[in-house]
Amino acid sequence: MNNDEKILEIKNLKVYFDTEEGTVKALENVNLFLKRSEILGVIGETGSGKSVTAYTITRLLPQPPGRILNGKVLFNGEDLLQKSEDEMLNIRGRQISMIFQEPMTALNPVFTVQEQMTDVISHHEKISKKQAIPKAIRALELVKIPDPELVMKKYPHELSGGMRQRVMIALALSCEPELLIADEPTTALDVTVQAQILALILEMRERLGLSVILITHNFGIVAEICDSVAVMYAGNIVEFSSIFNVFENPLHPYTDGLLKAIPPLDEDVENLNVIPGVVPNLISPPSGCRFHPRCYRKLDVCEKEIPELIELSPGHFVACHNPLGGGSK
Amino acid sequence: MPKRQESFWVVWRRIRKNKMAALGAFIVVAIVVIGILAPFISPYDPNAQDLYSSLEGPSLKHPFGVDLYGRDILSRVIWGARISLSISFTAVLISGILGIMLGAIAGYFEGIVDEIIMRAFDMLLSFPDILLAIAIVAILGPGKMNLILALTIYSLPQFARITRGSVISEKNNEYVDAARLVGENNINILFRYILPNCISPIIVQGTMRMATAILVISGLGFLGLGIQPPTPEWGTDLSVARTYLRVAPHMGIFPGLAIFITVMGFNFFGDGLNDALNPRLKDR
Amino acid sequence: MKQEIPLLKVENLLKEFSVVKGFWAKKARIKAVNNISFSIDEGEAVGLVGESGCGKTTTGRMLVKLLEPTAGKIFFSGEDISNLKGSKLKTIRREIQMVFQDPFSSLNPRMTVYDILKRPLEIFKVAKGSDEKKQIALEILQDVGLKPEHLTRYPHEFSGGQRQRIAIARALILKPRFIVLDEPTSALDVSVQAQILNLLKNLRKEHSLTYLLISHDLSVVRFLANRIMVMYMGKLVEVASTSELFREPLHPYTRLLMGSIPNPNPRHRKKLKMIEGDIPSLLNPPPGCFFAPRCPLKTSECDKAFPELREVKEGHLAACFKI
Repeated sequence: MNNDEKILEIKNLKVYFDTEEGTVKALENVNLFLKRSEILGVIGETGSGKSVTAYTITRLLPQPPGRILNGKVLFNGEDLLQKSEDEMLNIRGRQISMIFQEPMTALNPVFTVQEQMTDVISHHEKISKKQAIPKAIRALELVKIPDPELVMKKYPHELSGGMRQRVMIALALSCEPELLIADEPTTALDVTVQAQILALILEMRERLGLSVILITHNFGIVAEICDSVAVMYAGNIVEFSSIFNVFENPLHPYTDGLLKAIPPLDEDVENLNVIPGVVPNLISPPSGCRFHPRCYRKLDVCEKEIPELIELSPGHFVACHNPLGGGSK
Repeated sequence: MPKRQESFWVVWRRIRKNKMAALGAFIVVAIVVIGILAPFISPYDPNAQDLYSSLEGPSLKHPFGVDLYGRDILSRVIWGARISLSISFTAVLISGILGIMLGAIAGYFEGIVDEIIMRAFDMLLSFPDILLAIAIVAILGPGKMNLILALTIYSLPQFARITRGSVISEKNNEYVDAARLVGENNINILFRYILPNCISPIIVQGTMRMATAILVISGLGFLGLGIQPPTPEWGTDLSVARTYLRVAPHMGIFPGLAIFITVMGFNFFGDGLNDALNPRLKDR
Repeated sequence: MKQEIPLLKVENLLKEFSVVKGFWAKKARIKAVNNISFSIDEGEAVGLVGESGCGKTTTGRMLVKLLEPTAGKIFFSGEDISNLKGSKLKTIRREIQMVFQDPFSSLNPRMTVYDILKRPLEIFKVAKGSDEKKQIALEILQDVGLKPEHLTRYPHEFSGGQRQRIAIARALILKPRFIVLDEPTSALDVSVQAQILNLLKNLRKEHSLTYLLISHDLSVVRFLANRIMVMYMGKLVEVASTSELFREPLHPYTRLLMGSIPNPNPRHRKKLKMIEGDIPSLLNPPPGCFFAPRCPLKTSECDKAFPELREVKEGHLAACFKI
């Protein structure tokens, strides 16, 4: 298998939500791909559409109110948006798994870990629940849970937050999926536990060749474990490239501003860079480039035309009419 | 979840979208208007007797027919709305004010105050619905004032419970701590900060209580413990009609329908208000 | 140690909570804040860092008098405020304020910005007429970067960052000397966090304020605080100036914390380690040092007693036997 093969490719994805206040234009034109065994970070602030993207890939997007107007989600070359619900049931879990921010909401509180894990494994592998037990224990061992036999007998509320997230990951990996989508998997956890979970994701990639989409708002996490990163703003991908390109040579003014807005851990600064204004309302987003009201490099054309995501330099995609010159910083 | 302050118009729009709620709202408004305008719209004096037309069925002259004493049933139903609404409204208002105060105090201070207030209400709540009202009226005797008293005592625990529950959940908000930090005293925090944010479940409760109160009034009337004849009241009239159900079914049908429609209207409206004020309940 | 009286001094502060355990409602007591002592000088900005459940918020709430300490003393410019009640407590409220974590729950949804801002002025009878009240409110609104027309709006009309500005304005309007900032930016997006952090830094200079900044985020603390206290399971484990702490963290817990924070620089990747073991429960804490079960430096001594906070270097305190 070719290492450069794209396991997932999203083309021109457009998703709207119908709400009481009006139509929320949540995703306008999302283009993105993930190579096999890569970790892709999707980063954005509240309302950027990063979670909607994840839910659309797994077809867990509630419809209504969600509406997919356009686009393709190619997984191993097949369009997931054309699959029937039955086919998706098979793909979800077996080929694509998802973990969430709050593992408590994804685990059923009235069943023990063992019941939930053997249930999933026996369903996917068409084996009995008894036969699934050793597999479940192996999955828990894989995510470094001490005393897996003991943990199997426990209910979710008896576990700590970090343990629950590990159980979630074990559950997600138990059927050896090719792609893991992690939606803010460590946001509810403490930093020391977060570090463990991130290390775990890295190790799973090494051992299983897993491809991962990591959705987060934390640039630190992206820098720490991702290979490439897609920056989202108000329903669009504004920049997409390898992490070194994005962190050291950002082309989009939003990426640049955001990176400079983070209080640094290893130096003292007097003032943080500020991106003026607030995230736009996606019911009536700004015309043209949705970032233009907050942009210091704004041109006249930015108000009128939506910038396309183009490959400005090899492997470095940006959607901007006036991108930063290369080699700054 | 960010808390929204729902404007009147947002709530109104949601009610209009919900067909049942809109129907309920229409019935409630109609009944209230009929009750208020009773002296002007009722075609006859509800107590005027015309023994010659005793038990006559519906006709152009008497659309709902005539009862045993030759009284116009339409007029009695219209005046009945006035009686039922005024009694239930007064009772709900009084029990609402008292129940909100006691429930709010119980929920805010918790501890021993809460125990005393809520255990007392638990005792009241352990009686089956209408039995409590019957007992009170049976002891004090029938009459408008005693009826109001019975209904008030009967509704009080419900209001107190609802208020207590929402005060307890509301007081954990950080704005309550912030108010304390700027020196607000307990009374102000409870009545100026917390209670205004608890108002929507209380309004819903009030509407629902109106429905039950009207039902209890007619129930007591039917048993002869409520409003005494000849005052026009739906339950009392229904009870008299029982004997003549075969000869003059209209005597029972119209007061019965009035009870049914009014209670249904308040219930629909209450349900609709609940959905409109707490849109999260409408989860798909 | 300076000769003058510190603005805030805390001695052996203890807060116990009862928790109900199990079906039979066995009551157990946990020490959320366990005998901590520290002081803060006028003009300082001190960071209180730790993970969830370490007692940092409980400490903050005791300092602003939202919680009664179980034992211990709090002195505010020399005066014992640990058990104040009634009008004396009200007087001290003017001097000590707090900014809360969640800007969505910290503003009353039924009050306009003006209502929120004018109540403190009314309670403390600061302003005479309504003109003066409005004047003061407008000034403070400008200080926090909001516009005059925002005065008549309701909280739900604002974004998270703007709401936090309103909350800051409310905390500042009585001109307090000491402000506890409880995770003031953790509910906000990065770009908005930067705005609020800059604002807090500038306000401190302009209004000569003293801050206690409670946070789990070391980068936020580094930006805003000049001294840092690290808390773990109700105990202070390390106290040092910000520059000193980042140059040479001494306590193994502080080092673990620093080693766990993802750094937004892909060239300096951490060797993320899978540390075995979770944070022990406060219900049955380890017999000796609370950090011993996770500590790489642990020896048998560590299981016997809890190490006291001691001055390891000048101005650098740590609670560990092994340094």
